[in-house]
Parts: sequence; C-alpha cells; structure tokens
Amino acid sequence: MRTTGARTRAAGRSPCMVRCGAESAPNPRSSEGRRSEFGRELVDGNLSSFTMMRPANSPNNANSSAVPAPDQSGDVTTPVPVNAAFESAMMSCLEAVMRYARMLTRDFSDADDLVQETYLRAFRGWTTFDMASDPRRWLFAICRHAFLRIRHRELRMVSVDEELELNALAAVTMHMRTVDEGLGRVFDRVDLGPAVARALARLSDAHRVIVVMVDVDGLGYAEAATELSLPIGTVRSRLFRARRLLQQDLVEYARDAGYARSPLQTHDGKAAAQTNLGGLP
Amino acid sequence: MTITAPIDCHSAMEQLWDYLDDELPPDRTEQIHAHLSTCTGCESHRQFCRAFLAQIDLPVVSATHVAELRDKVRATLQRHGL
Repeated sequence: MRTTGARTRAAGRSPCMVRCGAESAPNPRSSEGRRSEFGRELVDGNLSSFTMMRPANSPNNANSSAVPAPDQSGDVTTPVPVNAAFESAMMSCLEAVMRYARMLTRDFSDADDLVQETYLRAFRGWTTFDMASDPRRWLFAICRHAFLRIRHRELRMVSVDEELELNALAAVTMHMRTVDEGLGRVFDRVDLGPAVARALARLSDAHRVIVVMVDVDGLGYAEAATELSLPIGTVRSRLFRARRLLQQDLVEYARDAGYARSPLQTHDGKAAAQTNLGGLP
Repeated sequence: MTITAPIDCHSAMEQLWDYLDDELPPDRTEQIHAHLSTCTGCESHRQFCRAFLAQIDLPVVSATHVAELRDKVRATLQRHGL
C-alpha cells in the first residue's frame, strides 16, 4: 500500500508539468563562456567525440523526413534524416530536463552542458526508446546517469557520521519547535518553491542527488542504492539527513519571511499541548 | 482479520520516512498506520512531513533561457545527424 510518499507524487506528475516565470537565480556565467570542470568532462568525454550510429532500418526512422544539413564549412550540401518523432517526443520535454539538470548540478552552466549531453545520448539511443513509455522519465534517467558518471566517485564517499545518522527523531524535535512558533502548517500554506531550490543547492552533491532520485524520480531506496553502488543503509541515512537539513532551511526561511507568530499568540495559549508529540523528547 | 501489535510514538516516528516512502513491509506499515490513527501528535508530524515532501519540486527556469537552450540543443543534434 502506497501511502503518501515520494514515488506516488513523482509518478502522478504530468510529463511536462513545469513552473514557468521567474528565474530561480541569476546565471553568473554563460554556458558559452568559461566552462567548469564538470562541463569540460562532459564535452571532452562525449560531445566532441560523439558519432551518430543509427540502423537504417530503425522503426523510429519511419517518421523521418529529409532536409539539407550544413557540412563542416556551413554550406548546405547533403540531405540527412530528421526524425520527426524524436522532435515531437523529446524536445517538448526540454524545459523539464533543464529544470532537472539544474536540480542535480546546482550550476546553470553545468546544467546546460548536461542537458546537451542528455539529448545527444537520447538521440544516440533513440531506437531503444519505447514509444509507449514516458519520454520525460526516460530523459531524466539518461540525465541522471550522465551526471552520476562524472560525480560517481565523490558520491560514493561515505562518512562514518553519515552511516550512523538516522535521525528521524531530530525531525520530530524540529517540528515541535515549528509548532511553538506557529509554523506547524507552513508547508501546507506557503509555496516555498524558490526557497526549496536554494535549500537544495546548499546540500552536498551526495545528499542532493538522493533527494532527486527518491523525491523527484520516485526511485525506491534499493534502486537508488544500486545506481549509486552504495549500501541501502547509506542511502536511507543520506536521504533522512538531507530531508532534515531541507526542513530546517525551509523553516528558517519561513521564519525570516515573517510567517512565524509569537508563541504567546498560538491558539489560546495551547502551544504546549500542541507540541506534545506523544511524549517524545 | 490481522491483529497488529501496537507500537509506541518513538518507534512510529523512527520509521516515518520509510512509511511515507512505502519502504516497509505490510505488517509494519499497518502498525504505523494504526498508531497514526490514534495518536494526534504523531499524525501531526506525518502531515508536516507529507506537506514538506510535496514542496520538493524541480526549480523554475525562465522561458527565455529554455528557448535559448532549445536552439543550442537542436543545433548540436543537427551537427550530429538529426
């Protein structure tokens, strides 16, 4: 029985459900300009050496049409196939992939490189795509794998503290304080989207990627552990720690934004009763 | 009818994330479900965590930047044979 968790939420999202509007943060550098180490690894490892290999009898080529394509000098010379199905299925998901890549990388320029890498890999593997499946989830998986390939070693590093940290009870204590401050329902009542993006960016790669895999992609703990080559206990402890840090960050944001109220103003002075979570410390 | 042994608040809260993520075996899920249905404090914390998870979503991007990147991706793919 699925209750209320991440995988249900992830699976329930529309393939291209996006928030449009304001930029989450200014881009300090253009993706055309100075390239980070992450971006160089992607480009050097893949984009520059990428070669299209597609079987001529691919079923997905049925929707192809022929248009002239520029050669190395920029002249239009030879016709190459344009796969209308790829355009239709994949390009409509670009905004979602872009948002996903930003969540993974934290860096706008790296995210742009990762999106390009994702689409190249998708194009290269287009014949393996099941047209009945969700293109967004397929692209997310490609994007995640490309990211993990670069960051795999650091993501696998495990600290002793992290192994020991399964601090669900710390989250309960934090919740009790938020109730005292009148912030017990803040997650229900306030859209914290921009604050969530900033809080996620403050997490380490090792913690953030697990939040993305479980809370956005809807992977189970075992699936995430397999992809990351980590013990499942490490995935759990990182996930719980990441969520606790995110909760702390978001509550702090809500407090600073003035959503809190004085303990003296809580429900007829019954704050103490509300915070009694079954006698937990 | 299956009778599940009651669990205390400490045990329920320790396993709350696993419960919300559907990572527990059915009998343990049922135990926590039963506890939450009778304990207002723990149920309040479950609602808090559930609402928190609902806030986690992909970040916003501007339409302008999406259009620019779409052009770059399309150009890159065309260089590689699209």
